Amino acid sequence: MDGRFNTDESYRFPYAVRNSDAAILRFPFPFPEDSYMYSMNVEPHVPAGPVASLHHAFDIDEHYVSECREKARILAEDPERCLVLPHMRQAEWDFVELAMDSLSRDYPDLFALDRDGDRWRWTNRPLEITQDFVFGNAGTLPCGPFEYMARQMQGDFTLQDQRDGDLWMDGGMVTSQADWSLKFDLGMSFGQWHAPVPKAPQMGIFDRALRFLLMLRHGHPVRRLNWTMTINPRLDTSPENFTIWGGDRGSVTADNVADKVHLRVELQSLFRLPRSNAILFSVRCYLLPVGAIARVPKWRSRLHRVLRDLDPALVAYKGLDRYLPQTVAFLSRLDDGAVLSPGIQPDTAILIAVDDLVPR
Amino acid sequence: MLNASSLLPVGPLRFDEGGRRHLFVRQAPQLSVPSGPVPTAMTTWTVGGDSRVLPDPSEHEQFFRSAAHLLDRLAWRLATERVGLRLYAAGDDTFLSAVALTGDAAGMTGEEMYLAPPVQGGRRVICIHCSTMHDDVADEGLSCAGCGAVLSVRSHYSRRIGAYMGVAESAPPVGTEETGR
Amino acid sequence: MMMPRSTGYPAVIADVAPVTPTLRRFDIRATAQPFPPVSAGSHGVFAFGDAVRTWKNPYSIVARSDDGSMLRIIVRLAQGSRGGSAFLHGQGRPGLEITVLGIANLFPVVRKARRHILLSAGVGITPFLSYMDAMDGMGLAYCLHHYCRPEERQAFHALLADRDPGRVVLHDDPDTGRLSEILAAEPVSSRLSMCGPDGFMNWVGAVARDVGFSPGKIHSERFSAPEGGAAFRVDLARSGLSVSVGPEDTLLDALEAAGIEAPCLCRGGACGACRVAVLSGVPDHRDHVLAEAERAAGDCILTCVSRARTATLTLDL
Repeated sequence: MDGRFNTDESYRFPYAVRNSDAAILRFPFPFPEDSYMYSMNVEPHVPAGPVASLHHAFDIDEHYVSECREKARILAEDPERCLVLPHMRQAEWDFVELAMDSLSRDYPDLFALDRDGDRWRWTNRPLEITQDFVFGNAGTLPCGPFEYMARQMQGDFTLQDQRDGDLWMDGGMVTSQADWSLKFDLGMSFGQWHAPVPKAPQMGIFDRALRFLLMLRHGHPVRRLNWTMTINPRLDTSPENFTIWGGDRGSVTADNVADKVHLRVELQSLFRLPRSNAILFSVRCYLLPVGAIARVPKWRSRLHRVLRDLDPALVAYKGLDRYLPQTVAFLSRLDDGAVLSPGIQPDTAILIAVDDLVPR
Repeated sequence: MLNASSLLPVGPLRFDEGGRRHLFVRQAPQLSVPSGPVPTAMTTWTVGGDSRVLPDPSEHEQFFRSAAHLLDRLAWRLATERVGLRLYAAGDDTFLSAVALTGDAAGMTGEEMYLAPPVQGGRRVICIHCSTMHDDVADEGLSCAGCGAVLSVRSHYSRRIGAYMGVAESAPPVGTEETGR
Repeated sequence: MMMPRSTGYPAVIADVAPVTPTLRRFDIRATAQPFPPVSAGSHGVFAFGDAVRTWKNPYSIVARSDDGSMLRIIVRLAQGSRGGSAFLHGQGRPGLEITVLGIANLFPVVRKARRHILLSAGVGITPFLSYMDAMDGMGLAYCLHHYCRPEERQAFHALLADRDPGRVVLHDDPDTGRLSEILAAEPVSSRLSMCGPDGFMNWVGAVARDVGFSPGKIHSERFSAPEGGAAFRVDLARSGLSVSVGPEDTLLDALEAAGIEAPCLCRGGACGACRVAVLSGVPDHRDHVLAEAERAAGDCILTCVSRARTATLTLDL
């Protein structure tokens, strides 16, 4: 993060999202191997990893200002994208503290937090916000504490209450989701909100994941990468607005596939919140067109192999069927069949120039 | 193993011996009471479908004018109820959804509420695009009465909303953002 | 990013005060970074000792100061335990170094429930001291019934003097009829939480089920004080090491002393985090986590409290 933001981007029609070379190289490419199957793939969320987007508690990148503006617009269109049940009030404050502490520590040039007992001053320079408030007193903020902070962060956040040996999605702000609805899933248990995922239940993944998360410790956050694909650089692929974006899935041709088809990666990080014993799910969405992925030789070959061999049930669940053939065809011409290194790191510091992306 | 399902848990009704008082609510008189030995502290509430009915608190079976009438009284009853109650319900999907919501709101858990399989196949569906509710949806799809979207019904149920999710995903509109509408 | 704190929070005992003849309160002051916020019902694992040996014992956290400088615990002088609590009662004076290795919550408040009935006996009151603070803050309705011996009544009365007298009831007579009346009068939404000796919790649980509490609304936390036993040896299949476990050592302590990074969290047989696969030998299960079938299968062990029925065990470590 160099402190400069792409402030004029649009995540809806007419689309206008740019990715600098640096942004491409820090993309959390989700495939460490040439094939993919749903798995837990959880690792400690420590400030290290093969790409720079993994190096902070909450990643801020060049799209920050534009994404926050898009989030505000979605919330204005549909306030039910932010819902928090009343018993989660303490978890809201936990979130405020974690977010403000982390951002001001990781990006001191952008954010500042001054604490004097419970009298706090929050400064957000990119969004030009200065706020004095009393920690724990919701009346001193312009809106609920969770909403206040989540509006100033990229990505989605949900708050999970832990009770009766389960996790319950009892709050969240969800504006950049892969086809699930907060207002619909609010109040559901871990098994209930995962019900639509195919195959994973039979594999026992959710059992193990839930047992693991119930033991998650404060100060020891974990992360995993999840992925799907999206047509156009659209953050809000919600069921609520499926009528607006769903038709785009039929618009992919051999001519526009490189710009239209995006790999959508969720950096999911999970934090135990200390006052409430709740768990924060942070779901940060990264969108990169396959044309940009093609500028990294390792990534384009690996993406080709993963998509070519993907389980049909996952193709259907992720809704890829209408444009997967065009995408695989585009990538297959760029895959020389070379053996690729394990892991997600790009194995290069220099991108192939766009003009050199000629089919082999 | 974890039950990765969001659907209302339903099954044949049987009296729970762990309960000390038992309340069976049903949408119609012909719906049968839970199986097993009938406990002494057992009351049946039945929808009578008659505006002249008055529930008689001294009777083991009380009749209510409508499902809405019964559900209203159920909320009042649960607000003053003490520990040890078990609630059983039989009726259609809409009725069961409403009973579950009322029990949840009163602080009862799944261990204290038992729902019979719905008597009709129809499901309650919310249009995720405009929040219009549709009762007794028999098919996998419908046209939303509110916004006109052609909805398919996902096998995903929200207990808080009391409905399945209907999404216009089988036939997305031909026009997209780019082609204009 | 918060880093794993493998070394924990260094601290010293700042103040000691008797609560009853067998209970002592310790205020513990952080000497490096402040203690993190703590949710009601949490326990810490506290490491302390002398030149001869170190104990790592779990205790409920009664309170944390707002600035994070101080934690409060109450420790019972346990007869016949492996001696950590006895050490604190004997040697736990201001200035004694004590490290908070980790904090976790196996007994969280069910925040969604509006009404709570809390039942404790003896030192089992400790988690409920934090519960009541949290419930006051959240506006939840609750009532605590605390059971003690007649001669302790005055001491517990003093401990609870600041609390709302309408929400706290002391009992020095475990009267089943009276408990049954109390529990039966609870509203349908009520959650029951209990903490105390096994006999007490078995009694409360039975009365609660008898008045119709569903099992999922009865909450408890059971810690085992690790007790000694015959010495045994463990062979570690992955590392090829052999480790001897003395009569007074725990298996977990012995593994750690041998430099093995064994998983653990509560150190009291309550959480299951230290579960390790047993490849041969017969475990002597002493935890509160494993199901009957898992005990009978004998293919895993919780290293923090359990021991061996055979002279050796082979573990997948």
